Amino acid sequence: MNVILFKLTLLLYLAATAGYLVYIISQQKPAGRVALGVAIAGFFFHTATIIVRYYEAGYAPVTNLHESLSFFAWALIGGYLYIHVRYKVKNLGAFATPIATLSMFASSTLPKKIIALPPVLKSYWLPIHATVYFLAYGILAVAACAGIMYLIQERQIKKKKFGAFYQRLPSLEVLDAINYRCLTIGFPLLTVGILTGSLWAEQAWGAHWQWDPKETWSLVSWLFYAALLHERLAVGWRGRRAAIMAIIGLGALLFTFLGVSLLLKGLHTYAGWGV
Amino acid sequence: MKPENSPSAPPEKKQPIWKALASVNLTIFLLIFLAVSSIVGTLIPQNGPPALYIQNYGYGTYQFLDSLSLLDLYHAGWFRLLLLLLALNLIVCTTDRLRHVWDIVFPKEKRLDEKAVLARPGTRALKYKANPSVVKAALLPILSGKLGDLNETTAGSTTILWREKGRLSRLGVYVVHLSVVIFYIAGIASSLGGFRSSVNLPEGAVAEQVCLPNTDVDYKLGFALRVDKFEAQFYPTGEPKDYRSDVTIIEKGQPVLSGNIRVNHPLTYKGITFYQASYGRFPKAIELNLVDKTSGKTIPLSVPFGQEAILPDGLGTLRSLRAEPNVMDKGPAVQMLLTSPEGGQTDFWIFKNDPDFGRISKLPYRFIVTEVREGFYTGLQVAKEPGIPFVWAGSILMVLGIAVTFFMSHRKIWAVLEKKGEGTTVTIGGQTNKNKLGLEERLDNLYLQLQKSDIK
Repeated sequence: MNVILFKLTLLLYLAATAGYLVYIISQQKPAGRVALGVAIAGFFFHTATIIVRYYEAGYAPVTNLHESLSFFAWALIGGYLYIHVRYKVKNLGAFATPIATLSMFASSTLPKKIIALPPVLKSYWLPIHATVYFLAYGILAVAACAGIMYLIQERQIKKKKFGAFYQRLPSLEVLDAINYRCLTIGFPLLTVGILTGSLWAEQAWGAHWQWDPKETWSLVSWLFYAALLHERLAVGWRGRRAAIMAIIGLGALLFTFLGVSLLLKGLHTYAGWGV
Repeated sequence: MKPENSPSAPPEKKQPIWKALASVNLTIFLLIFLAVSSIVGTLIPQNGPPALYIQNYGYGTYQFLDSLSLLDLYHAGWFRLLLLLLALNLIVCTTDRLRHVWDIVFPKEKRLDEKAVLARPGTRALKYKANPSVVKAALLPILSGKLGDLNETTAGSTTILWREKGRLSRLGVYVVHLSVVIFYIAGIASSLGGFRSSVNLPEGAVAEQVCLPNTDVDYKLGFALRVDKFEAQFYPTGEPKDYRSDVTIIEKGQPVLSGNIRVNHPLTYKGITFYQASYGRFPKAIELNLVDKTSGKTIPLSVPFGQEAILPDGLGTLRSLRAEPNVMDKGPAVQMLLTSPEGGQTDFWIFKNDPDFGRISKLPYRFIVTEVREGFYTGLQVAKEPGIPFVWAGSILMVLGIAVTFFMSHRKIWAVLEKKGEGTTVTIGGQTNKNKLGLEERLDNLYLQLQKSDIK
């Protein structure tokens, strides 16, 4: 059942992405509205997918790469919809939905079979730790989208190209505000994620911190975002630098999420169970 | 000669160092430098045997990496120095700014910077026909919010009604800094006053001490841990389901606590925690059948692993030496040592699937291995971490501090009442230390509320 819902969600996200692309190229308002509607429908079915899988598996579906990529996409779309409602921005969807769709597509190619939970994952920390982390990933991915849009928009302004593309993107102020808002939601979530991970590691492996690659990379991304926050709050960096940092930050997060599991395999204790 | 008037040297000398340590740019540099160094540690395998590095990188590169302590990076002196510098930076920054912030958070009296307010009162203005005192009376019930009392400041003919909330939220960021310091304390406490070790215990075994890693020193637990039973459960698919050691804590010869240790469910006694880490099987006893070559009579004999059993009819003793799952591609086999009554010793193998292969003809028996009885041993990680309460305290403080820092703000909202002719102009405005958008929304709401109200 959850697999059928999953496929339906993927189709809707594909349609939403297509809709947004039509919208950003043709600038026909109905296209944007339809795309948003389809994205909301997709998010609804995605939520159902996750709930159904939760009941079918009997645990929070965030234990393997199929489940995690799907959950990441869910958090990203959720974060996008929140920012859309809050800031009423144009075209953020054209950047957020393709990433979510890509993640869902990658997820769809992976084994979807529900497996019995290994002893190390049988913990009340699993839903807390993993959910919080993916929510952080989702909202910080939205920050990176805003960062990319900022850089594009800034280029338009510097080249004094106030043409069609300029009109299609929100103002620099709004993009910077979105970037900051996402950071102020994402960083606390990231912090809770790393702390719960450390407390769980103590229970499961007998040490809060062992400099395992996954732990190290999660610290790297946390330090990075901490640096970005101090730049913004204490030094007063705005705009371009913050936008670039948000994009690099997402890179570090994605490496923590995927790179460590896929590339640094065999060195770390998580290798046995996927993510 | 007035020494007290001459500028004292020490403070001036200290100042540049203090200034450098109080710099946020230093913070950012340290955060990024630590992040990048940490990445290096994930790209070069840590704490491997030298031979591995020499094989992979060559001798010269190995020496180079080793000289920079890049092979045990997270425990290297320079890495720790950077961590220490970050802690100093954080403490100096905090004390430097806290003095200033403290005065804002705990002012001697409630005050408003009237000049600043009057210079930029805001953009939301309303005009009323009534005079200021009438308007003020009408405004009061609307402006009096649930949070914070309404204050009044007069400057000439102008009255400012204002309220303030969230002063304490300015301290949130320092709570976060404090939590970081607590994590440092946790780490230091655990590395100075704690230890980590592991021990493999067969069922029935008792541990009174554990060997500290990289040393020959045994750590006396102060009590004994007996493993009563180990159980590994599997799903029908063969995937592991649960690992569980049933244990008893024995103190002064008396059992004081019975419990179990499972993955994710460690057991703590007197500050020492036991974690389920691994398990394995080991041969417990070898069950033999001795078949009399002439009569065919069968005598069962159990040889405890590594120990001796006495053969019937005074033919000597039999000791089990090894039990292997596969010898010479002929399947499981056991190695035994036979000691004759005269003291002569012979060792030989008995193959489970081929009892007559290589048999000893001297004895009047054939040996048949009926079973190699196996027992479980449990692999426990043993740790003493005095830092654990600090980790919890730090975690809770950090989450609280971050919640306050990011989701609460110090706001002032005001209404400036100016007499204009017979009537009154009211300007709504405010200031906040963060979340300007939230404040604007709040002011919009208030403005709307005032427009709707029936004040004339």
